[in-house]
Amino acid sequence: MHLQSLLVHHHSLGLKKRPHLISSRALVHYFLFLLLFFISITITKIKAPEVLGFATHIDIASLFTETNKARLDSGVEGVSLNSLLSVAAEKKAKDMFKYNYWSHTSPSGVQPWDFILGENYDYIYAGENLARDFSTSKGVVDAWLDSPSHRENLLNTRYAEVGLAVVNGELDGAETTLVVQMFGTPRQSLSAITEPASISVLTASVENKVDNTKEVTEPVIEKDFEQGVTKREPTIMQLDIPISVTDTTAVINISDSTQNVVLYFAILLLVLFMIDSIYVFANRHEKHTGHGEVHILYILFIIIAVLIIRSGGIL
Amino acid sequence: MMIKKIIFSHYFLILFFSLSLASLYFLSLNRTIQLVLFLSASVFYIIWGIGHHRNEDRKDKHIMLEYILLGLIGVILTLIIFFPFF
Repeated sequence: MHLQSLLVHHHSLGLKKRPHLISSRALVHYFLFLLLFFISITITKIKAPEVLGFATHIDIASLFTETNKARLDSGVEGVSLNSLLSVAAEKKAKDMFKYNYWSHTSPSGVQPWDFILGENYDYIYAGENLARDFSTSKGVVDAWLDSPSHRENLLNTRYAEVGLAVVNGELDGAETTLVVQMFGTPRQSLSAITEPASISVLTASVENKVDNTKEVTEPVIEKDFEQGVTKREPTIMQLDIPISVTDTTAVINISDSTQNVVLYFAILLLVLFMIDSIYVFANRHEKHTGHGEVHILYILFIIIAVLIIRSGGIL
Repeated sequence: MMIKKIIFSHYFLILFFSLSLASLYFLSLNRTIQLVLFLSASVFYIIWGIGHHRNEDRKDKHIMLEYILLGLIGVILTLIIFFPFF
């Protein structure tokens, strides 16, 4: 076997065969290898869910840090982490899983500030940012910063406090990580109340599945609220203790790993087909094989599609 | 006429992939819909490859096999990508 025939066309291959690395035989081997990989991870997930699991690298501490970093970089004062807002954010996330919606307003009309007021957080201004299907905290905050309306929320000088929740559950029948960020400015003076305490870990798994209702609304930037509510002094938590929260115990983040395997394999296949096509075109070889450029187009489709589904959504 | 047919056939494939990508990007965060879009692209690719070469009158089994194998690789890659979510 000529070494050249591994990568590019060689006359010894004849007119009907591609280089060995992308020959029909090689494609069969690739397929069998991938099938074996798929069967292995399926069995591992069933037999040892503690090894392979749905996981993300999003945690409240880094979300909080990234949020304040973005604010300080833009010359805006940082916000402090508030436990009432965090509880409201967690309840909102759980509500989204329970009633299966991806929106600022629930199917029954419950608004973000209903959750905030439900925690007796009496606010002057409040706002909400949502994110789903991201794998890192930085990715979430960067996506919010890239969207003008979310950026406005994130860098709003009127907000003094923030609450954050990262919750895993099932949305539209698929494992999803929801991030809820609720901003607020309490009516009372903030200086009077500080209560550094243990920070609650707002992660949970919700498995409720209900009606599939979808509604998309614009993010709430601010909301004046004049109704009377039972006033309760908000608890402000200073982030002076390290928080390390991950929402899983899985050893390997299966979502990231499988996407990487697919991506790298597709890129390898793309490179091999491109080398062959360029060589054939440059040397004007006559060949009776399928259209190389069409295969390249198809592999490119797979790569771009994987990149699209890797990126999460914001609201 | 034949060349026109081939060019149209290629444009049709490009249009299908572009629309699928646009749907993935703009329309849905729903994993089930994404899975269906992925799988339909692979199935469409196999059908397109076989149909296109029949039209070109190049019904060589090596060529057909190439499209089928690449399509099947696409299907298994899709299953691997979406497996963690279900």
